[in-house]
Order: sequence, then C-alpha cells, then structure tokens
Amino acid sequence: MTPDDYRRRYFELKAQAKTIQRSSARHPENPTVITDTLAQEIIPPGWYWTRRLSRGQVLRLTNTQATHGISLLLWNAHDTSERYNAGDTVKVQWTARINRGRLLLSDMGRVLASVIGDTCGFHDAVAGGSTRALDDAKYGPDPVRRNSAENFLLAAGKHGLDTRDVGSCITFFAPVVTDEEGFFQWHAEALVPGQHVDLRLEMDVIVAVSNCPHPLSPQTHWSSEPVEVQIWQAPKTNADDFCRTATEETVRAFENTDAYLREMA
Amino acid sequence: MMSRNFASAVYDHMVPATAPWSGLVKKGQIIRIVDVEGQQAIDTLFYNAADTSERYSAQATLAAQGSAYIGIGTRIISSRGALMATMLTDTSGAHDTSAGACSCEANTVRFGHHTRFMHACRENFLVALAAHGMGKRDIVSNINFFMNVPIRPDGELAIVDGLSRPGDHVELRAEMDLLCVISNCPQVNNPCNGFNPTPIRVAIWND
Repeated sequence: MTPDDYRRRYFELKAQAKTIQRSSARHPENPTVITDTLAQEIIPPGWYWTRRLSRGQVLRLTNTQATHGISLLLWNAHDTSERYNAGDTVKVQWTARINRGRLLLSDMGRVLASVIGDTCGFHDAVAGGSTRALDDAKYGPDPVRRNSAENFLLAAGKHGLDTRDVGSCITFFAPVVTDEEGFFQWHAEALVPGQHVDLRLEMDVIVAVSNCPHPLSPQTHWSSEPVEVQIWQAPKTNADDFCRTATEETVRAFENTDAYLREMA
Repeated sequence: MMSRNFASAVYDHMVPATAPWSGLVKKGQIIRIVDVEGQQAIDTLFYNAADTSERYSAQATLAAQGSAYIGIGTRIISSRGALMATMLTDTSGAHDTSAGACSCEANTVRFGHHTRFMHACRENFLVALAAHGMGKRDIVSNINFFMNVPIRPDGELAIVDGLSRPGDHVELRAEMDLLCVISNCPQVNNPCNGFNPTPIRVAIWND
C-alpha cells in the first residue's frame, strides 16, 4: 500500500468511529436486576480492595455517596505481564470517554472487561489516580494519608507483584473533561449518589480498586466516602451482545480474546 | 539561554527510521530530540538510571500540570512523584502522552489482523529495554513527541496530522540520572509519521 492508501484507510476508520459514537446512545438498557450476587463488600474511605475474578463475573462499583473517584487496575490472572493498557483503551476506541458499551483493553490487544452498565457516564482514563506527592501538594503534607499509587502497590504486593507491575489506571466517577485548550475541567454535575458501573470480566483477572479521591477533584480538604463492591454472575453472553459488537475494533478485540481463551482451555 | 551548537554536544547520534535507541542522560545534562524531516512521532520513556523500577508516570505528570499535553515547562514526574526532567524548549507544540505506543497486537485491533506482522514501537521498546535487563513490565504509558492527539471535550481522541516541520526539536533537562529509551515510530497505519517514517537525531549537552 502507498502512503496515500494508508491515509485513506485511516480517515475512513476515523469517520466510521464518529458515526458509531453518535449511535451509541441507542444501546439497550443494561440488566439492572441482579439475580445472582456472589459477594458484596464495602471499601472504606482511602482503602483498597483486591481479588481474583473469573471470566463471566461482573464487578459492580456503586458510588453510594458520590465520592470523587474510584481508581482501578486489572491484570490477566494467568499472566500478570498482561495488564490494563490506558493508551490502547482510549486510542483503539477513538475516545477518552470510557463509558457504557466500551472495553478495558490489555497491552496484548485483548479485552479484560466490558463496561456493560454505567449510570454515571463520566470517568477518567487520562489523568490517573492520586499519589502522595500530588496529595501533599494539594492538601498539605500528611505521612499517613492514603493514596491510590501506594494502594495499588499494596494490592499488587498481595499477589506477589511489585512496583513494575503497576501502570496507568482508570478512575471511575472522576468526571474529568479536557477543554478546547487542553486543560482538565471537573464536571461536578456528573456525580450523583448511588451511581454504579458494571464491569463484565472477559478473562480471569486480578482486580485492584482504590478508594481515594482523584487528584483533579476540586475538594480542598481530603475526603472520601465508602464505596460498595458487588460481584455477580453475568447472564450468558449472546453473539449479538452490544459490548462484543459495537464497532469493528470491538469485534477484532474479542476475536483476539476468544482465540487466546481457546488456547488456554 | 543561547541556542546549543551540535559541535559542543557530548553525544550526537542519528537514529534511523523505525529503529530503537537508548542512552544515559546525567543529571543536569540537556537532551535534544530532533524531528529531522518533520511529522515523525518519537515514542519516549524515562527511567531513574539508579533504580529503573522508578519510571516516567504520564498520569502523574498530567495531573500535576492540570492539562493534557506535554509542552514547554512540563515537569516530567516519576512513578514515585519525583521530578525526572523539565522540558525547556519546544519549537513545534502538540506532544501526546495519552495514546501510548503502537504494538503488533493493538494494530490488529485498530487496523485489522493483516497488520500483525508490521514493525511497531513496543517491539523497539522490548529490544532497547532488554539491553538494560528490563522487559515488558517496564513498558508504561510513554511520551509521544511530535505526535498530535487532540482530546476533545466530548472525549474524542484521535491521532491527526503532526505539526512538526523539518528540524523541529524539543529539549529536556535531566533532573536525575536518566535512562532514556526511544522508539523512532515505525507506524504507517495512522498519520503520526506522515505515513512515512523518517530518521531522528538525538544530542546531549552538559549544560
């Protein structure tokens, strides 16, 4: 192919992605009635939560009191060198707005999780989670205040992983919008108590969740509220499942994932 | 600060199109990365040379500056919150750190399974990192110098034509001893290299 051929193909794909984004509002409502709860826990303010989850389970994060962000990392449970990849997740899907119908992709071109439910719609896949340095600069020094970077080290550590296994995260319920000048703006109206996201795991994973306020939260004093995690069994996924079929890219990501799962079986 | 002459550089190297590069930049030294022919994405990672488990954090860097792109004055922040480097010079504008590096695997998802056997940045990173005893776990969100990826208020994020002209360059001052790892991006499936990867030049000065 010539450079012109590559250019033509790229801008066709880009135009197609735009059409799909406009039609994404047509996605059917997600199943909100959970019939099969496997576990339910509360993550206290500032704390982390980690465990292995199996393919087909759904992790629901409920932001009962509209806390400012819940950060999350995922690893392939069978090969932790494969992990959530922020760049691929936003680039492949042509959007930094990861919400209902979108996928959390690994660095290996495969799907770790599908966002099958989302009653908030504003999450941050760009600016990350809190760190000690960011919190100290914002709230003043505090040697015992918890933060997401250290929570992720702790969560990783409980699985025998270490600092090299911790990469960029996604923070749900952090309504960060990039304005025309490139500055981050906090879209406060997007947060309402009781909102949830449902992440259906598409392979066996280790998940780490950190309940610390996002670094771009407008709050001037550190505060965090408890959040609820619930694990439930997803209904059988049909071939026409909207997360599997939303876009050409989505279909290919699942082709890669399905081939890998067949290899592993 | 006067413009630095290549004649006084302590290191000066042309990186061929599509190739990897790595090198040490000592605290206080200045590294210049030149887009020799223009519109060439340069995927770049930084590590603390004394302990490479401390590495560049794209997210901490963006959160600290409150904006989405790398430019003059950007403080390059590490995974432990330390200042790694400061961006002093930028003759181009539009440097991304959100869209990551291309890979054979992500290419199959983005552009089709027929692109699996095309060279990619993460291949370059793995080769360059292996020379320092490092591997895939050390590959994190990188900086893409000269790669233009606007993020729109509605979330749209796409690689569009680069703004850099021949000879455009960036300069960064190392604030700790750094291992710098570069992939001179081989991607031809999107506009990051003008669909035609070209050589780059890396030079280092003591001040």
